[in-house]
Amino acid sequence: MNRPANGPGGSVSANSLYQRKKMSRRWVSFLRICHYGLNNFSRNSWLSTAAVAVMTITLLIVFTTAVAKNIFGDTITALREKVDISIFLKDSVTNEQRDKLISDLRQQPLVKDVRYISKDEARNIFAQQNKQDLEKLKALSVLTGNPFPASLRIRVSDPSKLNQLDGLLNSPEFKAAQDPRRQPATSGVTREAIDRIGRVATFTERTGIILGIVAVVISMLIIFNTIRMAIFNRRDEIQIMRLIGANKSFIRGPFIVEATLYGVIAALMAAALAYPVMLLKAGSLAQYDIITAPTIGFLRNYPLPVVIGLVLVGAAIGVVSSLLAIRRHLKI
Amino acid sequence: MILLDRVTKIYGRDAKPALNRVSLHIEPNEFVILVGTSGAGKSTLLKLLTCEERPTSGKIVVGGIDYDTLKEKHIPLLRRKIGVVFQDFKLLPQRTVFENIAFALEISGMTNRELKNTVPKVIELVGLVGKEKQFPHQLSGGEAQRVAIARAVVRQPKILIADEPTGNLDPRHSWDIVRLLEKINRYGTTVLLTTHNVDIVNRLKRRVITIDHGKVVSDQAQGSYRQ
Repeated sequence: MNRPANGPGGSVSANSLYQRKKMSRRWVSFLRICHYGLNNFSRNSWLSTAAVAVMTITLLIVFTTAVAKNIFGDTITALREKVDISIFLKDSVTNEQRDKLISDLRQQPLVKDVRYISKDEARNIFAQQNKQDLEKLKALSVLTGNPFPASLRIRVSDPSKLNQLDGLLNSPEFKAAQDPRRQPATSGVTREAIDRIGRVATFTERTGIILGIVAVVISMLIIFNTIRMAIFNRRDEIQIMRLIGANKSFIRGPFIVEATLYGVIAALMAAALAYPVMLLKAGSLAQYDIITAPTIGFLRNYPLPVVIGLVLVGAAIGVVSSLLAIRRHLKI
Repeated sequence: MILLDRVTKIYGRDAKPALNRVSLHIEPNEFVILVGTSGAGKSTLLKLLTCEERPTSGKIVVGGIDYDTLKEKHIPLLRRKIGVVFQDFKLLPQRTVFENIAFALEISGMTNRELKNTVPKVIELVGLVGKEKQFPHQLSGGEAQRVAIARAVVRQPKILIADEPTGNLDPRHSWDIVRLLEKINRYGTTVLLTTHNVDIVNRLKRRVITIDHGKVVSDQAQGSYRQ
C-alpha cells in the first residue's frame, strides 16, 4: 500500500519526530554518562592520581621502546650500507681480465654492486681524504709515478654473509690478479661490530617489549582495582540506579568514561614528558653515529598522530581493564 | 494491574519455598496493604514485582506486561513504570533534594529543561517547597521519605510500591507519609504498601492482604491487622 510521504494523519512526520526525540534522549544520556564519569574521576582524586601515574609510566616505556627500536633499526641499516670490501689489483692486470673479474663478481647474489677504481682515482681519493694534511700532500707531490693500486670496490647486501665471497676471492683467477702485498680490505664498520650492535639492539628491543608488557599488566591491575573500589564506594548509588530503571549502559558507562580518562590524561602527560627529552637529546646521540634523524624527524613533523596514537593506547588499556572490573564486580 | 497466578519462589535447592502458590489480583487504582511478619515472604513478593528475582514457577503480569516474555534488556523499562520507596529512603547523600528527584528522570535521558519543568511540580506535591537545595543529611526522616516518594512518582508510574516506608519514622511523620500515599493514589496510581504498623492498618480501612509462611492467609476488602 502506497502512502504519501506527508499524508493525512501525519503518521510519518510523527514517526520522524519520535525518532528525533529518541536520538536526543540518547545524546543527553551520553553527555550525562560522560558528566558522571568526570565527577567520579574528580571525586576519588587520590585513586585517580595513582592510576594516572602508573599509566603514564607504562606509556613512557611503550613510547620509548618504540622510538628506540626505530633508531636502532635505522642505525644498523645505515652501518650495513656503509660496509664495502676492496680488492687491490696488480698494475699488470689487463682491461679484459678486470672486466671478467667484475662480471664474475656481479653474478654473485650477495653482491650489490662493483665499482672499478683506477690508479688515478685512487690517488685523487687519497688527496681528497688528506687535504688538511699538508705533510702528506707534499709527500704526494714529490712522488714520481703513482704508487696507488687500482681496486675493485664491492658492496654487498648483507655484510654478515661476507664469507660467502671467500671461495671466489681465493680462486686462482682472482689470486693471479690481486696485488700480493695488499690483502682484500673491509672498510666501514667491521662485521663483528655490526653483529655486536645487532645483538645489543635485539636485546634492548626485547627488554623494552618485556618491560612494556609488565608495565601494561601492572597498570591494568591498578586501574582494575581503582574501578573496583569505585564500584564498591558507589554500590548504593548503583542499586538505586538499578531500581529506578537505569539501563546497563547508563550504570556502566561512567566507570568506563572514568578509566578512559585515566588513559587520555596519562597519554598527554607521557607525551609532554617524553617529547622535549627526545628532541633535545637526539643531537648528542647523533654524535656517536647513531641515526636519529628519521625517527626524530617523524616525531617533529607528526606530533599530532603520535599523541593520538598514545591516547588510543592509553584509552584502550583503560577501557579493557574497566570492562574486566565491571564484568566481575558490577551485578546488574 | 497486578496479577499473580500460583507463583512459587524457592531460593536454592530443596529449601522451603519463600512463596508458595500465591495468587493475587490487584485492580488499577487500588490501595492495598500487605502485612506479614518478617520472613513471611513480603520482600520476596516485592522483588518479584520489580523483577529483581524471577519466580520458580507461576505467572506474573503487571500493567499488561507478562514477565515470562520480558527480555532482560527491557527490565529497566519495566522498572520505570513501577515506583519504589524503601524503609531506609535510599537517597544519594551527595545530591540535593532537587538532584535526587531529578536523578530518576536523568536516567531516561530527559533534558535539563524537562527536569526543570517536572521536578518542582513533584516537590510541591510532596510538600517540600523551599528544601530543594538541602542535602539528605539536613532533612528529618519524614522529609527524607517524602523526597524518596517524590523520586518514585516523578516519572508518573502506574504502580507505587512502598516497602515499610514508615518503619523509621515517629507516628506523626508516619501519618504524613500515609496521607501522601493516599493523595498519590487519588491521582490515579496503584499503591502497594507493606507495613508492621497496626495503627495504620486498622485506621486506613483499605484492602489488606496478609502473608504468612509464603502463603496468602487472608485478603479482606476493608481489613485490619490480624495478630
